[in-house]
Formats: sequence, structure tokens, C-alpha cells
Amino acid sequence: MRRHPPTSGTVTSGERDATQPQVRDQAEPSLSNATNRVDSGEAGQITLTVNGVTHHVDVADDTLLLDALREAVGVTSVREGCGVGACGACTVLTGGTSVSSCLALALRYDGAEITTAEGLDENDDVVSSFVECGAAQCGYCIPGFVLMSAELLAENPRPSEQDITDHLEGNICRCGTYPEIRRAVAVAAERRSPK
Amino acid sequence: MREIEQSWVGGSRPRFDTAGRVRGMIAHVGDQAVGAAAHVAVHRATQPHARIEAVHVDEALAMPGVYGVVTGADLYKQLGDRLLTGPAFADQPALAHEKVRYVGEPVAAVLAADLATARAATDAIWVDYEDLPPVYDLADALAGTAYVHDELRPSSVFGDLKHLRGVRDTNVNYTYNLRTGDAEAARDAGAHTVTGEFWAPPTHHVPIELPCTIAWVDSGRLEMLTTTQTPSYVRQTIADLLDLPLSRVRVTTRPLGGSFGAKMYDRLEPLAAALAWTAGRRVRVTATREEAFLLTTRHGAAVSSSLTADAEGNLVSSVADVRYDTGAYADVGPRITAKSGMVAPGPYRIANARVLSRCVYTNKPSAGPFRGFGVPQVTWSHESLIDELAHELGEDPYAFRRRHLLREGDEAPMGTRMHSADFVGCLDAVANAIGWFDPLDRGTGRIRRGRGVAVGVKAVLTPTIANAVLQLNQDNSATLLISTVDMGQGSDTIMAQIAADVLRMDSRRIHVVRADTDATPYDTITAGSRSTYHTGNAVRRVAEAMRDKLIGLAAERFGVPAEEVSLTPDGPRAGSHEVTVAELVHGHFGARGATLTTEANYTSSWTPYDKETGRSDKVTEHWFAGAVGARIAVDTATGRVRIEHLAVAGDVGRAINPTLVEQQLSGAAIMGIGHALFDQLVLDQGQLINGTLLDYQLPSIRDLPDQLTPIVVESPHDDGPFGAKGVGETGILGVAPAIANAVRDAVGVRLTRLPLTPESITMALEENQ
Repeated sequence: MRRHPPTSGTVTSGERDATQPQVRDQAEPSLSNATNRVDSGEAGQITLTVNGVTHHVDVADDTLLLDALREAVGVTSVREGCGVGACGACTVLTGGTSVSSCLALALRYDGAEITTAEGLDENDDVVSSFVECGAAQCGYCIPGFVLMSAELLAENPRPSEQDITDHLEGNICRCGTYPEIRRAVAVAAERRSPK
Repeated sequence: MREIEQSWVGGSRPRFDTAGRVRGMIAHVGDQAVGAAAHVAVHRATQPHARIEAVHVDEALAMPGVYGVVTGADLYKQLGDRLLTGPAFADQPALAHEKVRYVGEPVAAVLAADLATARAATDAIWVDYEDLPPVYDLADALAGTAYVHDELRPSSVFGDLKHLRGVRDTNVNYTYNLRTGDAEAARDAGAHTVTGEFWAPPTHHVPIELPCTIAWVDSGRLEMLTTTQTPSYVRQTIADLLDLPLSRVRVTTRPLGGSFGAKMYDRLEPLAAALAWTAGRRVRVTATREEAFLLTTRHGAAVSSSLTADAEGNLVSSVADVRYDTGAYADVGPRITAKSGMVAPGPYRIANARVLSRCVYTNKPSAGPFRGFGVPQVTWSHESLIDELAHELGEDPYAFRRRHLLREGDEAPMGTRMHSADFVGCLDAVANAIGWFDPLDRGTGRIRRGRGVAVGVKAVLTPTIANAVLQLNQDNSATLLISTVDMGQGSDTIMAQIAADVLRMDSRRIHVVRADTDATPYDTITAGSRSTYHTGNAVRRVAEAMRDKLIGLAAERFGVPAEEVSLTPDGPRAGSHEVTVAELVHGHFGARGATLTTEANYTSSWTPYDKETGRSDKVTEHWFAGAVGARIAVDTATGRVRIEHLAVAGDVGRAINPTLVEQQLSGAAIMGIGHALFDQLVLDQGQLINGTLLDYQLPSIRDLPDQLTPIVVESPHDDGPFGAKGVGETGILGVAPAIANAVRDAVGVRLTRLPLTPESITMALEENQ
């Protein structure tokens, strides 16, 4: 199950790595969704380290992490499917922990290290297992499943079928790719921790 | 098998760009940067049926960042009756004009600098309504005291609806009648009759990608990028709406993040086009999940039906009264009503059949196409009835069905013969898979086990048109231009496999261009499981034309007759002559990078059904045949159903890519599990009360059966590309009745209303005691 975003305070994970490339995002980003309200003013600038690259992002009080990632950082594997934390398409990992970015206020993630599916290497155990098992049809929801699977295997290198089900039940694949996804997670576990 | 052959017909090559899908690198419509655009949000109706007295927009207009507010009346002033669009009836305005007909109907659109401002401004709009008598459900609608529309307005799309123009004082916008023999008399004279009142509720497609349309005006042309399965249809609709020649409308797409019928015909596109055109600026229209629930739904359907056998157990009569609740706007409901009504008796030899199938307006969100096109709702009825009849006769439900199933060459009750529709093979396959012939541990105490089967039949959309253009590049790669939209089913993969097989090349070297009506040729729609057969045939033909062209060039180069040249993966060959395709094309043009081009068409034909009898000797180009078998356990204390094994078989003619076919079958089965056990839209006095994903339940990984077995049955179609037919809908047809029949087998209760909730099962068990 994904972690519910915190209700207060700031989530930080690790110090900023001075050797990492720094990207100053444009004040006028190529907005696809443009959810920042013109009349609410900027609440401030936060720093998000996304897939190892640090971004300084201007956000309002009510800017969602989902929108900050999609519109300011330009990460499009993070997707809105329901807006209420019920489908998992917007899942990201912050400091290795899954979060529904559609429920998370961006301000509270100042300094966070965020991983999205693009940030995983194509030879990553989970990614390559999903590819080999054909665990994607339209593929829209799959990045969320990939990240949940990565989180599961980090916590539990040898998950049972029931463990896999328990961890992925909050993600919806409307194409019904569940059998292939379950197989892919088992293959990734085997690959990472051979018996 | 050589690696290249894995990429041809029959090979399970991986789906196009699986690696990109897994890491989320495929760009969808909503991912496209739009630059300076007006973001659009919609103010929606609060009343199910009311006259619009006034729309107050001043407060919204005064908000910072709001560019403008547009009402239905504003659009009507500019567009007149052209504002009303729809595939069957031109009945739906992009923004409500004069009346609202369902809670949630768009009334006014706000254009603003950003989406949050636009959405906030919609809350500053208010509307004065004069309430009209609401038509909440089928019973209200058929009582005939209030009418959703003053008169019927057939669109110009379907010529056979012309006779309905101007009909008043009815909520029934279309009626299909099937009359074969005298079904009522045969029922009354029959030895055994079972009857039922069946209900399949409205449901929603819920593709995880939300709909999005970006529209702009460029050099006097309306261009758009949109999430649609029907780009060619949308181009025509927008041309009609704006009174433009087709050449001045461009509709482009990206791969869809699922659709299942949700993103077709008139969704966001008419509004986006009207706003972009009248405001003269780029607009971006999207929907929240809550709004997407209101854009279209699957028809709720009531079926009152009977099935009769004579003393020898022969089926002698099928009678069905089918009512499809199409909501406030007909969409393609009339087509669903006919195409499903004609198979309401099921895939059986039945001497007499009578079907009355009606499409009915109510004050609800509009219902349209959904995987299965209305057929799952009638399959729910006929597969429950034949099961019950077998029980009444003391026969095995599998064997009873098998005895009566239509065989190759048999005429269905609606007059069309069967070909490439192996119902018996599908039924046998699922029965074997779930161990029908083995002893069953029926359980003790509160857990009881049972098994059920169901068979489904559906006609492919006919007549339809497909076109393909193929450009063979000098380096022996190719670019295939078709207007089929890949929404997860894998068309970009299998169309390349068909062309590559003909051309003996690697299908991974063929790029399928995303539908763009400026470039890709007309194709009726990507829906109704029609693309593999229709577009696949156009692709086969376009590749054959290219093969002939290459062979002609090679014959010329070799100085031999064309009959002596054959095409191999290494290039054309004739005796000792050989040349690679790259050398051949380079030699022909004297240039690197040049292309050879061919084009082809495939059009299917039909005989329209008779208005009185509903019969036709060729109502469809081909049939889909499928079967489902279920072994389940019912917890009699809680009413919960656990599916231990679900087997789903479909006759696909020939599997172009067996792995993708299996995914279509199992994916459809999983969607069907939701329809069987929990999936439904709940409306109360016209108000949708579970239209969010917090409330609307969808199958998750936890709902997977303990075992799920997709089974590919291949009974090649004479005219299919390599014998192939489509498969997108086949797997969903029989899921709900197979599970309900297994419940009947396990605990002895017959449920006739979907979904089979724990409450409905425990209540039925209590009543049965």
C-alpha cells in the first residue's frame, strides 16, 4: 500500500549532492496543464531532486507534487488517473517510499529525492522483467506498478504471491495485465535474489 | 523458427515499444506541451431536466485570468442547429442549449489562463432553471408522460434512420424487431418454458488515461490533437459542426491509455473545436475523473425473456423484450439496440424467435459504446435462461448447450449463416480447462463450490471501410499509414506483422504512423473488434501491392518474367539472380532514402435487415464466438464469491500474435469479473452518486481468479487476413453468466440482476430457505 502523504511538516530525504547537475527551471515552463493559479501568488521555491537531477521549482501553497513534477520538471510517466489516490497512476518514490503524488502537496517535499519510472535504468531488474513478461498493454498505469514493485522488492526481496498482491492492490490496470505483472515481479525477485 | 519469422503472422513478437511503456516514455495527448492556450473548465447542470432561464456569468468573467465564458446560447448564435451532433441522432449540444437533460451536463465553458482558474470560475457561474418533469429510468421513460427530447433528430451518418425524423411524444428513439416463425405460439405450445427478468446496470469504462483535447486554428483550418478511437469520424463531425470542407479539419492522435469505447464519437471534441473556432485561440479541454464518469457510460439494460423446449428437449422458442437505457443523448445506442437485439436468442438453433429491442431516452448521462456493444447485456439473459432450462430438464448445462449450438453453415435466428464461429470448440475448451468432466469437491459447511459455463456471439461492425498506404523506404524499412488507433490492444504491432509477413521483412522495421487525418487515410473507426479483419485486410492488400511492385522491379532488373521472381527475407530472387531490396530501390530511383508507395482499400458489405422481420442473409461480415467457464466457491455466510478458475476462449480465426490475443482474452475476462461481481454506476434521482474512484470499484490484482486460462481457438475465416478476425470483445461476453451459472450450481439460487453482490447472494439464500 502506498504511503499517505504527510499532513504536516516537510519530507526530506538526504542532503543535496553538490556534485549533481543543477537545473534552474524556467519561470515560464512549457505547461501542459497549467494548474498554478494566477491569482494565488507563488508560495515559494522548493528543491526537488528527481532521478538524480536537482530542480528548483516555484510552487503555490496548493500545488500538487503531481503537477510540479509534470509541469515544472517535465516528468510525464507520473500520471493523474483519479485525483483521489485510488488508482496508483501517479505513484512516485520519495526516498524509496511510494507516495500518491496526486494527493501530495509539493511544498512538503522540499528537498526530497524522488524516483520516477523514467529514472530506472532499462536494465533494472524490475523494468527488464516487466518488459520480458509483456507486462504492459496500453501501459498507462505501468510506471506506477513498476515503482510499487521496486519498493516491494527493496523491503521484501522474496515476496510470496500473496505479498505481491497485498502490495499492488492499490494500483489499477484497466487492461487487466495483472497476471503478467505478478509474473514480472516474481521474475524480478528471482533475478535480484536468486534462490 | 528464425527470429525474423517471430515477427510475422503467428509469431508472439513483443508489443511495439514495450520498454517505453514500462518506463512511461510514450507520450500521450495530455503530455503534450501546448504553449499559450486557454484552459477550459465546464459549469455543469444541477438539474436532471430543466429549461435554462438564464446563465449568470458576470462574476466568473470578472475573475483575474478568465479570458471568457461561453454558453450554449452563445454557440447556438454562431452555429445554429449544427451545434447538435451525434453518430445516430444529432441530439447533443456541446453546451446545453435551452434545456438541460442530465445532472452534470455542460452548461457553460470558462476559458482561462490556467486550469485552476478556469475550474474556480465555474463555481462563480449560476443558472436559473425552470424544472421539467424528470425521466429517471426505463419505467418513467416508457410510461410516456414526460419526454427527454421534443422530437427525434436522426443525424446524417446513418441513412436508415431517416424515417424517424420529427417523430414526437416518445422516449423510444429506435426499435429493432426480430420475427422468425411464431415464437409466442411456439412458447405457448412448448413443454418447458423458463422466463426471467434480467438487469445489467450501467457501468463505466474507466480507462486510466483521462480524456484530453487540444484544438487550435491554423491558416483558417481547425486542427486538434485528441484522445479518440475515431479520428475519421471526429473529422467529419467537426467539419459539419463548423461548416468546413474536410480538408480544413485535421484530427491527430497519440496512443491512448486505454479506452474500451469511452473515447469515441462526440466526447470533448465538438466543444473544443467550437471554442477554438469561435474564440480564435488554442484551447485545451480535459476532464477530471469525476467529469469523465459523466461523458459516457455503458447502457443499463433490462431484458424480459423466455426460452422454450419441446418434450424432446429441442429449443422451439425464444422471446425477448430488451430495453437499453441510453440516457439523455442517443449516441450510438440505436446501433447497439439492433446489433445486440439480433443476437438476444443466443448462438443456438431455435426455430422461432421474437425480439423487441428498444433504445430509450432518460434524464441520465448518455450511454454509448462499451466493449461488447450491448451484447454482454443480452448474453446475461440468454445464458442464464438456457442454463435454467437445462436444470429444469435435468440435463447437463454444458451438454445441453453443446447439442443446440450453431455449427458452421447454420443459419442464426436472424437469418445470417455461421462461418468461422466455432462455438462448440470454445465451449469444449473452457469445459475441459475448468475440469467440467471431473468430480467436484462441492465443499462442506459455509463454503460451497460450483461450476458454470456460458457462450457468447457477436457480429462485427458491418459495413465498414479501411484504407492503408505503405511507403517502403530504400533501406528496406517501411512506414505504414493507417488510421487505426493503438489504445493497448496492440494494433501498431499486429498490423506491422501482417505487412511484414507479406513482404518477408522484419516487422520491427515497419513504423505504424499515429492517426493524423492530414496524412493517414480514412478508416471507419477503431472499435467493435473490427480492425484486425478490416484494416488488417487493407494492410495485407497494401503489402501485396508493394510485393508486386518489388517483384516487377526485380524482374526488370534480372531480365526475367515476374512469375519467376520470389521475395525472400534476403531480397528478391530468381534462379541465380539476387538483389537486396535496398539495392533494388536504390537502383530504381538512383537515390538513397527514396520511397516506393502503394495504397489499398478494404470495404465490407452487408444486407440491411428487414424492418419488419429484422432478418438479413448477411447482417455481418463475420461473427465472434466465445465461451467462458468458471469454477467458484461461495461463502454462504457472507455471500462472497471466490473464483477458483476462470477459462475464457475465443475463436479468432487465426491469431496474428498469440500473446496479444491471450492478453485481450484475459484482460476482457478481468473486466468482466468486475461486471459480474461489483461494478456498477449508481444513480439516485438522476444524480450519479459513486462517480469517483473512491466509490467506484474496479477489479484489482486481488480480484484475479486463482487460475485464469485464456484459450485461443482458431477456425480460419475465408476472407480474413491470414484467416484472422478481431478479439477485443469476445472474452467479455460470457463472464457474468458463467459466474452466475456457477453460483446456481453451487448454492441453488438463480440471480437475475447484476452485479452479484454478497448482499444479493445472501438475500437470495435466505429467500430460498
